[in-house]
Amino acid sequence: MGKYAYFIWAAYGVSALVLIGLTFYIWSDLKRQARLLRRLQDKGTPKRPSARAMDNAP
Amino acid sequence: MFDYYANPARFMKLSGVLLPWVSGLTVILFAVGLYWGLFIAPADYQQGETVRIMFIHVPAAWMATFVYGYIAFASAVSLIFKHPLADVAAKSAAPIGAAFAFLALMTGMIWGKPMWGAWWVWDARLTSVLVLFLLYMGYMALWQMIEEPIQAGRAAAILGLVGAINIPIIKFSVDWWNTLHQPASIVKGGGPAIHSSILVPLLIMIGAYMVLFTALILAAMRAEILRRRVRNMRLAQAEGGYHG
Repeated sequence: MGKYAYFIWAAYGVSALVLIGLTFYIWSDLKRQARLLRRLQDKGTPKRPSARAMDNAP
Repeated sequence: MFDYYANPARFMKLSGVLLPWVSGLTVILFAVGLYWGLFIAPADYQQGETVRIMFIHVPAAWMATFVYGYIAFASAVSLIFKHPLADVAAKSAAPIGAAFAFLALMTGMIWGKPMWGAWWVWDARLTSVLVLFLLYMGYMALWQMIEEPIQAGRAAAILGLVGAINIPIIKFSVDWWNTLHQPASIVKGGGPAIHSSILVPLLIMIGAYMVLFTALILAAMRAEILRRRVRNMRLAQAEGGYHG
């Protein structure tokens, strides 16, 4: 890559860092929300009729 | 059919099946595209080895504008049809689009230094992409500021639609104003102005970024739907339980 190697690897490095970081952030958020929901369901939190309807509407 | 799959319960089921396949395809496309771009594609006769930055700069820039278009479309669906998944789709896409816009700016700066002799110039293309990045920031801040999801969704949808005016400005900035940035080389009248030895890996990388976005948006939307269910259950708890 010659004299520009530093620039090329810097660009690929920052891209890898941001995209892997973003993937990790979204993945851990998904796992966290699933865990929270399971915990609430295990506790037997009662559902309002409106909340039941929200299972089909976010 | 759109209505059928846009039901959140059905979306959760379908996205759960799709997500592993889309994730696998993302890994394959990135592996092929990166290997081709870094080790097989030839150096450009003018830009030399720095042309390899194009394989990550152009897909990031395309996706940054595409994702904003997606947010604007979802915002319109949300405002007009009040569809329950439209807000979820728009909100979930914003951090992903912001990351692509950030990468378009960063990789552009890193490419600009050896080619233009400057990290940054206030020309039309660079400035309009910076405005796009700031729009993403403002959009996400708006969602954070308003606690009630329906109100937040309505305000964010208006910003999402108004901000879409920036998309054609970005696209045509290189034609409307004098700019250091090169003009369109792929989507242009008369066909692409790039040799196939560089165009093919570039298209593979654009595909990789597109499929990565699909995987990330599916996961982010699933997380947002679950977050709203958690919120509803906590509200029910706070109300002291409902024995219905």
